Amino acid sequence: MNFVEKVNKIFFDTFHHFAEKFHIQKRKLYLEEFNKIGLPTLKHEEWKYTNLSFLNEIEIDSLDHTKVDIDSIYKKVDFLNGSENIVIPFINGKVAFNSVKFYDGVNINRIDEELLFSKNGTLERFLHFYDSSNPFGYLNLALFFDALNLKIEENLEKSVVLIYYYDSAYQGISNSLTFIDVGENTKANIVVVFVNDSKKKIFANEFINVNLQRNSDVEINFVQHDLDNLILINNLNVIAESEITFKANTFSLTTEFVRNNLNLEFAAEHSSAFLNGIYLVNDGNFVDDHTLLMHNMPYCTSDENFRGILDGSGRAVFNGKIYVARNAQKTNAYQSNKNLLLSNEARVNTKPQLEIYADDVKCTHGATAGFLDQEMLFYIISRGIGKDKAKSLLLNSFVSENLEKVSQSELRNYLKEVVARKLHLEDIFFCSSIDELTKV
Amino acid sequence: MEILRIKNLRVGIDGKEIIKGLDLTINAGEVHAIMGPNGTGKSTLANVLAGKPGYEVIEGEIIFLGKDLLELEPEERAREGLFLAFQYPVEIPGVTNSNFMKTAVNEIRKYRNLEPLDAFDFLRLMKERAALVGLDSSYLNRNVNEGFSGGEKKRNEIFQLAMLEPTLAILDETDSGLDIDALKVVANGVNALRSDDRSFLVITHYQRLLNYLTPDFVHVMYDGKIVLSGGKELAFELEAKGYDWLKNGNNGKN
Repeated sequence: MNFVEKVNKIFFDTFHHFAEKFHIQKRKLYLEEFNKIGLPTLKHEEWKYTNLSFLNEIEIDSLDHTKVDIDSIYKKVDFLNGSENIVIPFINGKVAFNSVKFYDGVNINRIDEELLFSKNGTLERFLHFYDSSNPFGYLNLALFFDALNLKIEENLEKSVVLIYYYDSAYQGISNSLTFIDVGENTKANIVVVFVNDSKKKIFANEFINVNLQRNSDVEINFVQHDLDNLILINNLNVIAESEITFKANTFSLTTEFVRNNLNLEFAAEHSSAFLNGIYLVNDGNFVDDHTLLMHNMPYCTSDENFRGILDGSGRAVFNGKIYVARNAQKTNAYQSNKNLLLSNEARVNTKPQLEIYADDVKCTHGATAGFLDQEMLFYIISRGIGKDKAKSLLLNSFVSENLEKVSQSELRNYLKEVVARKLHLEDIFFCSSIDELTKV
Repeated sequence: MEILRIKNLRVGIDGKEIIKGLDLTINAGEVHAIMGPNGTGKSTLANVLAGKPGYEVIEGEIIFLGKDLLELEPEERAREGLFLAFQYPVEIPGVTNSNFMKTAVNEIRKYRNLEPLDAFDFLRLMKERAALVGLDSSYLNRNVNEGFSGGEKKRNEIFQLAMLEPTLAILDETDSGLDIDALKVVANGVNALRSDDRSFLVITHYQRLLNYLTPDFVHVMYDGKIVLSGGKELAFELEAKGYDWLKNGNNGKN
């Protein structure tokens, strides 16, 4: 069986008992939409650098949710001070509702499926994000476990942490569907962490749909590091009302296969969005960052900055689409993608796509792929620092700006440490606390 | 004691000869100044000594502390005690001055089979040396040269010199782009670092740095060679007469 046949079999195995129900019929319609497109090939414009044919080879068991010791999962993300945050664990794509506590200011609940799919239901206002450019959106709507709703109504001092955990025995497909609604004048910090313990291949197709109400201020950090055996399609769809500030940072640090689809629509005026990413790829790693900014309304600003370091046979793709509608005057849109190539086999495909229909806008984009700056390298070496360490310092320097964009200090320091470790710089940055001492 | 001896050095870039037979000997504790018009090979000399890639040594030898300098990698030259203060210091985002210096000092100490400095000793040393060049200790926490003014960058070079305690320090146009106050600060820093076991090679276009930093020897470089050598008074003579004096066929035989 190929991938499409396998997911169809899983669908019918799982849902045939309730086939006549409204929501199951809806799911089935979305499965049919997926089937129409099938697994995207290199001929598909949005997937032309992203070979998915290997998905036909992976085994997919039936939908399953194993019992896992939640505390052991929390320990894996102890850098976030687990208990201090509002933690929502997903195990193989299913929300561990039993482990979710109640918190003031956040409403966490499972969405009734009838309500989800109905007219004016939760899904409806996000439907324009679902189209043939990403068939995995349809697949997710056909196969998700529960639809989770998070309503954030007060400024939160704690972070909301979504942990996507894949357990060691799992071999299959994970489809989660989460809606986050951030209320007016509300500030929220969200962290999305992926942890894979499985030794077999997992296909994870996770969706987060975010609605930002007027004057909200939200940051989402996606932490993806050391993810072997995980084929991750990570999808974020954001609708921005007026005067919002939104920031999303992705950190894809030596991951087997990650595709980040980050989509944002400016649905009202005077809002700003910042998308930043770092990817480090080496042998056997692949990262594909796809961003879409829909400037549908005037007076909005978007700023994108993605940085990649490619070594060994590592591969990366960046595709940044900016759409500016005819009436979206006074739009400011900036986009930058910079890559450092450290080997002859490493490869990056970078593609800015600007579609501008308004005439009074400022849009800039730039993409580079290059090698280490020899002047900078010589400067460091001339101080007695060996070549390898000097190179690592420069690589760290290349991504440091995007590391600084994480506002929560524990997470920022953790990510800095992960990057330093990957660049073999632990002894410089984390052995003694010179920087801390000098502050005194 | 002889620190550096350059014999009949010829250096080219991209097939073009820049240094055309240069001899120079520097002994312990001496301050030598090399002056000369733009494009005569002064900075090329500094870069070749520090080991910057891209230069082709056509002929000649350089002996540094008894070793063949040209056989050493640039980082080894630094660890052996050679330091270049850059004309255009580079900005390194994401690396603080203190981390940069800690890494450099400890790599040099490791090369010399010394224990790494502990954090407290290191911090004390950094603060003391920063004060020497009038750098506030808040600079130690800032990224290397990032957002520094021209003067701050040059002061940071002298701070690094003070931290790494070289046997031979080469200052490449350290005075360029400095106003008179910054120039004094830099010169005072260098003067404080002069000692019997540290030599300086000061490369400059103008004589004004030498007002504050009295050299033992002044060499005039022109068209890839040292054409004139003398004491500190040579700098004043050169300032008065200008470099055209050299160009008009006066080949050092006045």
